[in-house]
Amino acid sequence: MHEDAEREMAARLLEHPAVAEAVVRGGGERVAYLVPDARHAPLLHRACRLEAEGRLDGLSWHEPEGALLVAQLNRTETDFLYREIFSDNAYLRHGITIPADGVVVDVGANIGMFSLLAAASAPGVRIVAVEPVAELARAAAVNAELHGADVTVLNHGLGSDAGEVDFTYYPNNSVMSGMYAEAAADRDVLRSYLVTGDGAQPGPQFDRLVADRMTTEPRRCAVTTLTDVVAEQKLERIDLLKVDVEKAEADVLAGIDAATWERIDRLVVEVHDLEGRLETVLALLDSLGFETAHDRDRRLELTPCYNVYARRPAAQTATRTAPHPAQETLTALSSAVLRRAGDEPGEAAVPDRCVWVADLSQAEGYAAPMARQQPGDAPRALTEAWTELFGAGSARPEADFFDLGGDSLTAVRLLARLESQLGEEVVEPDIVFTASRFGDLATAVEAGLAKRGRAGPG
Amino acid sequence: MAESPPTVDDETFDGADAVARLAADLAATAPLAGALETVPRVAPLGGNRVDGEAGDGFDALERLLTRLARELGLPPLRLVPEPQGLTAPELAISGRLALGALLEQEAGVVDTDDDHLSRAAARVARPCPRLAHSRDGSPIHCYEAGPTDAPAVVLVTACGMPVSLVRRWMAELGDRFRVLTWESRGLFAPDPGFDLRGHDVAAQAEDLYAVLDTFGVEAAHVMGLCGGAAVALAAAPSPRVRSLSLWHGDYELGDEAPKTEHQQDVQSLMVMAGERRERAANLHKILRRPNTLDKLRADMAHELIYPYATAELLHRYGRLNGAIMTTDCRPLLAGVHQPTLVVTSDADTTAHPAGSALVAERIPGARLRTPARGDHLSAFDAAPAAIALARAFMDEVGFEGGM
Repeated sequence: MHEDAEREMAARLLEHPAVAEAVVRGGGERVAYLVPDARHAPLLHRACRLEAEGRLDGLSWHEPEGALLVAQLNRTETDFLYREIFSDNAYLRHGITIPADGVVVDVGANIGMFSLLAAASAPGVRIVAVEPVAELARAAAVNAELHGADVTVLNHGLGSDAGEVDFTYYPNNSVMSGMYAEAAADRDVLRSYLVTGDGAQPGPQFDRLVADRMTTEPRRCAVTTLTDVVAEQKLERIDLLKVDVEKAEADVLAGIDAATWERIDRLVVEVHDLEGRLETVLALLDSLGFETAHDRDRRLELTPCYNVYARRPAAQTATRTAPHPAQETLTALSSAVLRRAGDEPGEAAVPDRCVWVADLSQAEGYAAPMARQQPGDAPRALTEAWTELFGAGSARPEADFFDLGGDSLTAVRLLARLESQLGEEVVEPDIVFTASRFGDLATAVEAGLAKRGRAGPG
Repeated sequence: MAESPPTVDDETFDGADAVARLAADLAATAPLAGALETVPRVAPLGGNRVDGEAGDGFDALERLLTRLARELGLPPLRLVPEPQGLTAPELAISGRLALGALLEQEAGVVDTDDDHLSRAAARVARPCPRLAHSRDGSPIHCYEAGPTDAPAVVLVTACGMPVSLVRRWMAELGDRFRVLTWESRGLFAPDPGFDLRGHDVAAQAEDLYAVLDTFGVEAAHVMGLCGGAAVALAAAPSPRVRSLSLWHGDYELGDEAPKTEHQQDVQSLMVMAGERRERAANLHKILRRPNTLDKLRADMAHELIYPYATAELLHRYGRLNGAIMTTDCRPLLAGVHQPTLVVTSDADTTAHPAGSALVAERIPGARLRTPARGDHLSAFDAAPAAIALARAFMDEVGFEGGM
């Protein structure tokens, strides 16, 4: 893109209130570097600041379902957690609610996704998040800060007694990490989950996927009891205790003394029903005066995992669905900014994507990737796609797409092939309706590539 | 989208009742017309009239359309003299209304008096949805037919299709069954929160349970049609599903069953459209072209094209139907515990019959019926032989309790 056009586009991007500063760079791929406005895009502003301060260090940003920006370790798990906690609302069920100014203890916090849900559920909620894996605890702290949630993150485990334990960390499957991890049994649980859910994959690939997810890393971690946490954190009461600790749940519950039990109003515990544990936990909670219910995620039906819900009969209840996360999202804001810039009249081409940064110095020295294909190659990509559709020898200048039997679905297939070879926006999606002869189409594709080439740096 | 030659609508034109028929057709095309982002334009198709020949009759027809739409409580349509420039959805509506034939009628037809018009409008039966909410909060429109104390059967229709596509099944089975169905989440009942909901097959299967809850039905026979068969399979682990019949199912079965070229094309279209809104908007530029109608059965075109009507619908359809078309059904099959009937036909060139055969083979005790006749869309025709097959199956497997 010429400098003038880049400047014109940057000026158009600046018209969006969420954008404080903007610069456009790139040849083959046009990138808009944007500094978010602190007032109109506070979440992104905080995200950029956290990143600039080096707080990510091994973590990355991801926005599951385009709805909730979080710092995370891997997307598959983050998507799983988001779906379980927000979309499926696995925790706030069976009369389990979080009152305003409530206190929540999130044991097995992972990257703090449940803590974020708790914070968004009611005003003034204080959360104590317990997570033994250092990387995950760090992500939980970053996420709390990003979303302005009142979360104290404790980087240790909980058990029946204070001490140190050996702990298996699955970096590619952190949600199954724990002190009772057993590779063979956990692999079976993971396999069962994968074949029940939509992550199912066939044959050898599937086995590779399982093996990859079950890569282990031994750790040693400090453990304390919930009773000690309540004392250290000076918790007068616990409105909701959430426990998801991969088979160590019995230990966590055993580390609660009678006085602490009296302060707990509600619990949601993931129970691994091994050796009748579900019955034992339900009986324990019943003897402590809780009303209980339990259910199971349909995707976990082949696994021994249940969720147990318990509350004091007097605890306030209300049927509620999972609260929606904050409205400002990276996905929506990026597309809104680009759409608005595209709506303005002018010659400058709209950038392919946005990169939000704390300051524009991060855009300096950026080397744009070269255009994926040079103009002279256009006919080859088109010829291949056309031949695949209509057979050998069909790619003649006068051959007509519709005469050869092309229809809307064929046009979609042709577009998909061209885009995969040449990138998007080289030709208008419905070009075949205005240039249906092969020769005309080849000219249009060449022109599109030449235009993109001219738009390169300098 | 379906691949089959256009056929003539089964209802023949009756000049004496032209207004009544127009009222019914306006109601039939209302979901599609209502989904468009601009006032739909319609051209007089279906007659022998020379295009562009506008006159008194044209003006009178325009007035008739406006009055009738108002009487039916529908948004207005804009009559244009020629079909050139109309989009595929507008042409589908125009084709159904067949206003060209009306223009050739006596002036009396278009100058119908108000009483006749009101009576014609009042006679139109329009499905009235009941609003349900699925487990993740998705609002869905659901429908019922038949006696409320009869055994229940749920029709899991193809993703994105208006309820009218299963009206024949509802009417035919409604004599002895309580027939329930619903329209896909995110595509009919307005839902600004669509992006926050589940889009996978499991989430869509939850909608079936929500329909049962809404009508107070504990358990039901479940009939899955086309892509609905995959959703029905996903719902099958629940004891609320008493029996399964799967009609012309469109299944992802890895490399163990071939797919037709049509299945592969639609699958890649769905994945592309569901990926991003910008991509869906680009694809919509292709799919709004009249050419899209070429391979759609004429009498169903206004229904089949519904989820392609706007870029937003296409994107949502891509996310939902893309999930259906790409989720491997094989892990679900061995666990199906209900009596199961699988129906396909060698004449189905849309969803490969080999897929149904594999599904029947893997479901314990399932039986496969493969009539020689009946293309993919025959799943919605509810022809007498299909109705007899469905009834015989449900009668045989029986139904205890669950009302």
